[in-house]
Amino acid sequence: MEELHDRYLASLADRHGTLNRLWTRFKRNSEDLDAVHGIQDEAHRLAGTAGSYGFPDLGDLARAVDTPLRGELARPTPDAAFLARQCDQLLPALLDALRRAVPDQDSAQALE
Amino acid sequence: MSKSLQTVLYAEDDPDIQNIARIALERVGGLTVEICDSGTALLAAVEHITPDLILLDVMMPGVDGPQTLATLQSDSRTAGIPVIFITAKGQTSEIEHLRSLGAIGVVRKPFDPMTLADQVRAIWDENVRG
Repeated sequence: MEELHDRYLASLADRHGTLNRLWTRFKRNSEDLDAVHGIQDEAHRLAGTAGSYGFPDLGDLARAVDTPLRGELARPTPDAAFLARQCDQLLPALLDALRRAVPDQDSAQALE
Repeated sequence: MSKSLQTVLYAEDDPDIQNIARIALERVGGLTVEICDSGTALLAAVEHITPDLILLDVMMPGVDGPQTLATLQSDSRTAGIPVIFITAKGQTSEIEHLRSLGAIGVVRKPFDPMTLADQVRAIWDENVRG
């Protein structure tokens, strides 16, 4: 169990990087809904796993991102402006929580 | 006397959930668990094994949880196997919709690894064992 926990913790730096890259893509091109799908997918996975691995707050922040994005992306014509606002409002807190959860200083610095 | 829950087949695409669910259900819960990484893999598995219970992740690439349940229900060989959805979808309307599809219960992610097996057994006892 401890080994699984450590492995999960180590994966958080990658998740932070993935979310950051996708958000940057979407900010550069508001028609890039694949990037938002990627953000939503990553947030959904975090929402489903973080609490089980001992990070309930991280899971809550991820769910706060997942739910509105999933709802909007399910519409026939998603509103890119709404999605951008949601990302702007909700992603910084999730990224910050991921950064704080990363275990070692080297990994944390790599996220700066 | 009714049969107690012993064997579980679980479709889940996220390796982090697969790993912790195996510990939760096998080591903590004492169940025998087979894990498939997709709905398609689970549908292939039930050609060869008949578990007491099926756990289905809702959102999976390809054949998702509800589609997997529909396929199970359409086959007389698998229609009688009880199914529980496991989902990170938290809204009440989503949970109610999943129940309406014919699952005997819904377990929300994130689950507590120390109590997951108890949750699953409680749903089983209430709906199957009687």
